Amino acid sequence: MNLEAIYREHKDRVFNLALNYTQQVQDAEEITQDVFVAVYQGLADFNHEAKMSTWLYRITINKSLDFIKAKKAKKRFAFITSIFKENSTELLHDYGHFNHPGVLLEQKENLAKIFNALNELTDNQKTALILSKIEGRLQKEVAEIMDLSPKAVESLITRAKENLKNKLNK
Amino acid sequence: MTKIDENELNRALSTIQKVEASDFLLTRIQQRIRQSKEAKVGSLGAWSMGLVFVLVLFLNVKVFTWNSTSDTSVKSLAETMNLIDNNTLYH
Repeated sequence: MNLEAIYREHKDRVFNLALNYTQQVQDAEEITQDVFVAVYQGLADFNHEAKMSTWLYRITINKSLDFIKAKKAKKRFAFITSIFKENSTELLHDYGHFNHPGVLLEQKENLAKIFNALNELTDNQKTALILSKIEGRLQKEVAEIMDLSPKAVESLITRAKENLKNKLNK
Repeated sequence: MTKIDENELNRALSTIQKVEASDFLLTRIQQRIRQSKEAKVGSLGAWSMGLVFVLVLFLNVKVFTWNSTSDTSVKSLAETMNLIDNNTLYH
């Protein structure tokens, strides 16, 4: 199977998963590119023990989490450097706001707050919740993707939902 | 925002729709792969040049040290054959 065929079959899955992590189209596009470059480089070593979709999910999750960590690190550094360009009040580092194109207008405010709280969860809780509640994967599938037992996934989802409710209802 | 329960949370999350990824991304991906291949070839060339340089340096050092030892080997050869190692005919 060549890269173009894999891309055409899985691009939406990868892009939407990245979008659910970052809630920004540009960031999701960058992650999608990273994922398929990694797929190209790793295709020869892919031993088909897991399904192609599972393998792609795992790469996308790792790339998304790495991207978010790198972005947070850049944000921290931005406070040390000058945040304004010379002779301008324009922000040098503008990190944008909630821009998830899959969110209906009437739900935007609600979901912006939900995603804000979701972004504060631990990586595993966030991943379990995104895969099960947004991507609609079965618990067994989530367990396979995350390489955990179904019980562990169930526990993660329960804790994630509790934490989310606590943050939203503060 | 009013207090949110699990049902409301599930309902809100279920309204998120799938979005189609841009076809242009494939062009960007292929470009990045091409660029990474070119970078690899470039670094391979640099390593090859470095290796050639080291080899030339090694050969020069070898020739230099061989020249400095060749005098003593001539001397020892002359001694073993009871020959004189210079042009002086009269002592």
